[in-house]
Order: sequence, then C-alpha cells, then structure tokens
Amino acid sequence: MLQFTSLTVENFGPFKGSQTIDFTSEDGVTFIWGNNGRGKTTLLNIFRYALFGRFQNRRGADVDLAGMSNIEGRADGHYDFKVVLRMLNDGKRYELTRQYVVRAGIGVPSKNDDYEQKVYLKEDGSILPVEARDHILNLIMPQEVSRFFLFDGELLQEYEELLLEDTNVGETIKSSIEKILGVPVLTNGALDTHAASEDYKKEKTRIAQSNAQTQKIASHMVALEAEKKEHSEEFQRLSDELTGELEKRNKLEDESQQSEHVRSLLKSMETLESDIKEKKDRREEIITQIVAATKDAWRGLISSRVEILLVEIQTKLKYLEDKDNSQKIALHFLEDMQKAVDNKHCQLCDQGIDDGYIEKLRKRINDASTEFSGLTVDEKLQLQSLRMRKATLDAMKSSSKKEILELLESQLDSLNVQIDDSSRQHKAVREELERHGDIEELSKDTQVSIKALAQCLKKIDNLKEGCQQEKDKIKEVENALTTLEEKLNRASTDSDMIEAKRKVDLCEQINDIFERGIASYRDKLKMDVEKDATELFLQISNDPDYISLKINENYGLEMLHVTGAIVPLRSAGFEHVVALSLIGALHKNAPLRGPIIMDSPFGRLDPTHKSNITKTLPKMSEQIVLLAYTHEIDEQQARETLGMALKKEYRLTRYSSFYTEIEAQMN
Amino acid sequence: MMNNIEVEELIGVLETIRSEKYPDIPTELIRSIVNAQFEKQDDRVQARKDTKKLIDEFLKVNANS
Amino acid sequence: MVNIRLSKEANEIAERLVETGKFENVITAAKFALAFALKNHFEEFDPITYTVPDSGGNNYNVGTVDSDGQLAALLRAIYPDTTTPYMYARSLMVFGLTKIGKRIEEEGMPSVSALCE
Repeated sequence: MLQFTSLTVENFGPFKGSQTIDFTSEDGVTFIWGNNGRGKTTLLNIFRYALFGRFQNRRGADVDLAGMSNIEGRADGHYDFKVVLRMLNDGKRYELTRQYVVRAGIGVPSKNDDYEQKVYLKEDGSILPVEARDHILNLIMPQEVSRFFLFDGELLQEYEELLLEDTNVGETIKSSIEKILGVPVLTNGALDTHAASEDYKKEKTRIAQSNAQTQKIASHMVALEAEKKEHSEEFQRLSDELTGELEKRNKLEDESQQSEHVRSLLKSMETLESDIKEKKDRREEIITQIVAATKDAWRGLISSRVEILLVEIQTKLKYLEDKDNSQKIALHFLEDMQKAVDNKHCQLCDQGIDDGYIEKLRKRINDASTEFSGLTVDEKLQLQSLRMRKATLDAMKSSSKKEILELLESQLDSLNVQIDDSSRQHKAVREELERHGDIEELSKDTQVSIKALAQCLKKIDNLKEGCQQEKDKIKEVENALTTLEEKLNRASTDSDMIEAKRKVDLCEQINDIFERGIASYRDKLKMDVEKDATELFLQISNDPDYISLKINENYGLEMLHVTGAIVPLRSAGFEHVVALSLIGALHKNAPLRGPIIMDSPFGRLDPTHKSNITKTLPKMSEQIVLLAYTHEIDEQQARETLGMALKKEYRLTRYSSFYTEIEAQMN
Repeated sequence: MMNNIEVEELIGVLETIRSEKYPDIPTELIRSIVNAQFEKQDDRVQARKDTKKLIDEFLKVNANS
Repeated sequence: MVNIRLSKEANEIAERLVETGKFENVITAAKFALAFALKNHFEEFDPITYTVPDSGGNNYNVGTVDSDGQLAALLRAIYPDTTTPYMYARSLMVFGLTKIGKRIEEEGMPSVSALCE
C-alpha cells in the first residue's frame, strides 16, 4: 500500500527555505489550515507537481517558472525550487525529488527556457536509473491512478462528466477507474492468452498442411488466415486513422468553438455589407426617379401662375369678344334701319315713316355707328394676341410634382438614415474583427476551418464505413475458418494433429477464463463500489429521502430517491458529496491503496454535512490530508469529531508578505 | 498500484470461474499469468512474451496426458 | 440671344442644388428656380427694371436650355410685350436662384417638395 511519509518543499511559492510536512506512518487525518493568500493554492499545486509532474490542469495556461521561486529567496540569489515526496510502498522506502534548476550559464532566470527540470527517485536510499525510475513510478503511482489521490475542483468537475455517458472525458475517467481497480491486468491477460491460442492454431494448421489427409483443408485455412491477417491489418490501419481523425475533429471543434465569436462577427459583417449594398442600390433608384421628376417640375410649378394669368386673359378676351359680338348684332339692326330710311317704310310694322321721324332715324343710325363701332385695330391685334397666349398657356397646364417628390424624398431620407446606421455598425464590427487579426486572413482561415471540419467529418464517415466493412469481412473469413476447423477436426486422426488440437483447446480455455473474468470482476467491483459508496454517502447525507447510490456504465453515481426514482438535478453540494463517496469507495475497493489529499471539501456545504464529512473522512482511506480554510469548519469541533483519527495539524502562517511558514501545531 | 495482496482478489474471481468451468486448468497457471501481467504492466510486449512462455511450458509438461 | 449666362452667385446656388443629387444639372435647377420665381414672386419681379448683378456664372447654350422652345413660348405668353424672352428667362433664373439661396441660408437646404409648396 502506498503511503506518504513526508513532503519537503524548498523555495517554492511563499514557502521560503526548506520546509517539511510530516505525515505520520499511522492511518489517520492530517489537517493543513490556511487561507488562500497564504499559499494554500500553491500547496495544492505542489502536491500536484509532486504527484504528476505538472502544476495545473491540462487546460491551464503555461506556468511562469521564473515566478514560482520564493521572492525573498530570489533576493538571496536562490532561483531553484524543488519538492521531495517521501513514500512507503510494500515495505520499501521511496524518495521522489522533482525540481527546477537554473541552467548553467544563466544568472537570473527570466523565462521558462532558463530552467531545467530534474527528477530523481531513490529506492531505499539508492538513486534509480532513469528506466527503473519511470517503471517504478508507473507501478506505484501511474498518473491515471494518482489523479485519484488528489481530490480537488478539477477532479470534481471531471467526475461530474461521468454522469454523461458519451463524453470523451467520461471515457478517460472510466479507464482510469478501471485501471485503479486492476481491470487492465485481466483485459491484457485476455488479449495475451488469445494471442497465444492464435499461435497454437497456426501451429495446428501447419501440421495439418504436412498431413496428406488434411492438407487441402489446411492449405485453404492458411490462405484464409492470410486473408484474415490482411483484413485485420487494414482494419487496424483504418482504426488508427479513425482515431487520428476523431482527435483532429475534436481539435477542430474546439478551435471552432473558440473562433465562434470571430465567425459570427464575419457573418455580421457580410450581412451588413449586403444590406448596405441593397439599400444603396435602392437609393440610386430613388435618386434617379427624383432627378426625372425635378427635370419637369418647373412645368407643374408654374401652373398656379398660369391659372391666374389665364383668368386675367379670359376676362380681357371676354370684353373684347363681347365688344366684337355686340357690333355684329348692332350692324344687323343698322342695316334694317338704313333700309327703312331709304325706303321711308318700316318693314317691321309695315308702315310709312314721316320725314320728321326719318331725321331722327338718320341721327340714331349715326350715333349707333359710333357706339357700336366694334374693335379698333389695336383691339383686334390685342384679341389675336390674347387668343394666342391663352392657347399657349392652356397647353402649359401640368400637374404638380410636389406629392411624388415628397414621397420620394422622404424615402430617400429614411434610406440615408438606415445606410448610416448600418455603416456605423459595419465599422464597429470591422474594428472588432481587426483586433483579432487581418480580416482577409480571418475570413480565409474561417473558410479553411469550416472546409477542414467538413472534410474531416466526411473522412470519419468513410473510415467508419471502411472499418465496418473490414470487420464484416473478418467475420466472414472467421466463419469460414470455423467451418474448415470443424471439418479438419473430423478429418484428422493423426496423433500430432490430435496433440495440436489439444493444445489449442487448452489455450482457448485459459483465454476463456480471463474473458469471463473481466465481466465478472467488473460486475463485482461495480457492485462493491456501489455498496461502499452508498454506505459513505448515507453517513454524510442528512436527507432521509435519498436512500442509496446507483452506479452506471462509466462509474458515475446517481442518487436514488425513496420512491425509486433517480434524483435528476443535484445541487452542487450533493455533487460534492457523491463525488467524495465515489472516491472513498474506489480507495476501498482498489487493489490500490493510497492517500487522499483533499482541497477544501467543505466549501459548498451546510454545517451538518460538514460535520458528517469530517466524521466520515477516516473511512475513506487510510491516509487523509486535508487542506482547509481556517474558518471553513469549526476547528475545535473537527478535532472533537475526529478524536484519535486526527494525527497531525499544520497551519500556514504568515511571516511576511512573501514568506509563509508551514507550522506544526502541537496538540 | 496493485500489490501482491490485492492481486489475490483478482485471482479469486478467476479461480471461481476456473474451478466451475475448467477444473483441468491448474490454479497455479492462472496465478502465474496474472502475476506476469501485473509485473509487466508498463511493458506489454514483455507481458505477452511471458504469458506465452508460461502457457508453452504448461502445455509441454502436460503433453502426454 | 444664343447663350444664357447666370450671375456668379446664382450659378453657385444652382450648383449647390445639383450637389444634393436631386437635380440633373445646373440648367434643370435654373429652370426650376425660374418657375419658382414665377409662382412665388411674380408681382415682385419687374423684368424691365431687374438687372442681373453680373455674368460671372457659366455659359449655357439656349438650344440646350430650351430645346423645344416651350420656355420662350411660355415667357411670351406671360410677358406678351417682350421681344427678348431669353433675357427674361435669364433674369427670372437669377432672381429665383437668389431667392432660393436666401432660403437655404436661413433654413438650410430645403427638400425639393418643400420648394414646390
């Protein structure tokens, strides 16, 4: 069983000089109290570094090594930093040193390249050579397993993915858990025993070939084996390519997500551009119409004046024409009167006229001639002119363009506002895009990415199809081989053949034991994990309606309600509790034993849960190291709750702004 | 990681299957294959070789039964 | 009269109208201004006494300004005593443009439909 005995940290973060945390060799809980500013987070990183050789989660940004050394130490010229993890495993003492030293020739390091990492592993005091070092570390602390030693926010988040059966992350954790649970020993055993039985089958076929009875069948089988090998190799090739493409797809999809924003900006830009163009085209149309209207507008504009003038002209015309007409009428009468004077006889009353009266008549005729003299020459000219003007002006009447111009101009104004708005938006989008890079390039890159993803997806489909086809062919050949095998078995009476067959049969039996073992072991483990997790869960939870945990394919755990239903959306707090239960159960069931280092497991929980977890801690693993905020749980109460199970306490104490001391507390 | 005590659990599962279905296969053989797999976990090539060797030897020894 | 030459100021005003994009060219704007003057300032305008301030504007060929002779016919119909309708045209154009120019100065560039009120 793996047990940490102590951790020494040198010149790392706020931990100036060399400081050591002693874990006891006894089973129990170690508390490390501290607040974030005091180096609790760094301590977590130190554990991570000691266990995995890296500082933060895989999605974290590159660390700045130069910034990791203790500031006060730097003032004294110390830029190197290291951690030493001492462990016991199966009676052997191990000492793992991981450190970053400044490269020779560099005075003050300023970038990551200025550092060089060194890793040593000592076994019972002697430094192991590199291969042995890696082999042992892989044996006692492979990364898939050691991740479960460190229970922090990162693990919690990955763990939450276990409930989603389809994710990539879920798969990874599942295989980690199975590794912890020892399943690979069985799966590899099955693979290797299967390979052995394949070898024996080939041998049998070889023997069959040299035997007259079975030669033909055997040769056919050899040919089929060759075919099968070809297809298997092709299948492998396609599978590998498929894996590559799937990775590529994930990468492209990630990139695509990151560039989501840029793509939507580009789309906005395109939409705005086409909108602006459309509006500008429309604007051109309207302007053309306006220009056409203004060209003739002068005619409509003068209409009112023309109306007024026409009225004047009409009045004058009337006067003159009336005058002209009255003359014509008068002339008629004058003619008759003259006749009467000449004839001294009135036609109308058919009577003679006296001489005296005739003089009156003659006078009347003279007067009338003057009175109804008609138009003067000037007036006649005037009449003509007026008639011409009237004709011209009548022809000039034209409707006003005012209404249509009003409509068009208002449309134009509105369009101009819209174009301005869109242009402004376009400018803003462009500016934002330019912050991401050259727009042409971005556009090209986006097209390229979209195309690449589409191609990748198509390729994946093709490869999947290809894989299936090869699988089908392999199955076909295997069936044929089985038939021939049976034929062979019936046909062979030779003792060598019988012996060869016996070997194959035995080998297949051995293989079958392993194959069945896998399923059986997995089931057993799952049941055990479920049982142990439920036990831990019930000790921590204070909700009587949640009666158990149920495990799924990926080792995710679901909470069961007393009604038998699965509790759908869990609170963050309960998520935490279930995760803790799983970790505890894994540690219990794993052919692995190791410590659990927990980071602030109490954050989201209420006091009852906090107290329950404290109580349950010792049951989760033999060695628990807890990093907690000073007021996260009641210290005194925690001590009381744990009693003898609490072995040691440390406090991260501020000595100065850049110096924290890990102080052992005397209990 | 797995240590000798924990391997027992795994062997136990296999033993149940062996004794029920294939009693002619010796317990020792299964145990030694499991140990070989455990020892050479990070060297699959060697694990396969060792497994084959164990089976070969078993079959040779039992050849004339 | 073969050419119509506007005053410098009137030409500039006409050019400003063309700049709005709503008038095809200076001639269209000038004709519009002529009609504007007849509509709104007929009594004010005395063709006999009105003098065009200068001839600093561009030259416009009468054939272009009045290709169908309608303008001349109109002016003769309005001012029957004139023998120089194109001189009257010129005066009216300048007069009208000047009025429009004042309006632009006071209220900013109006819409064409507003000028048609």
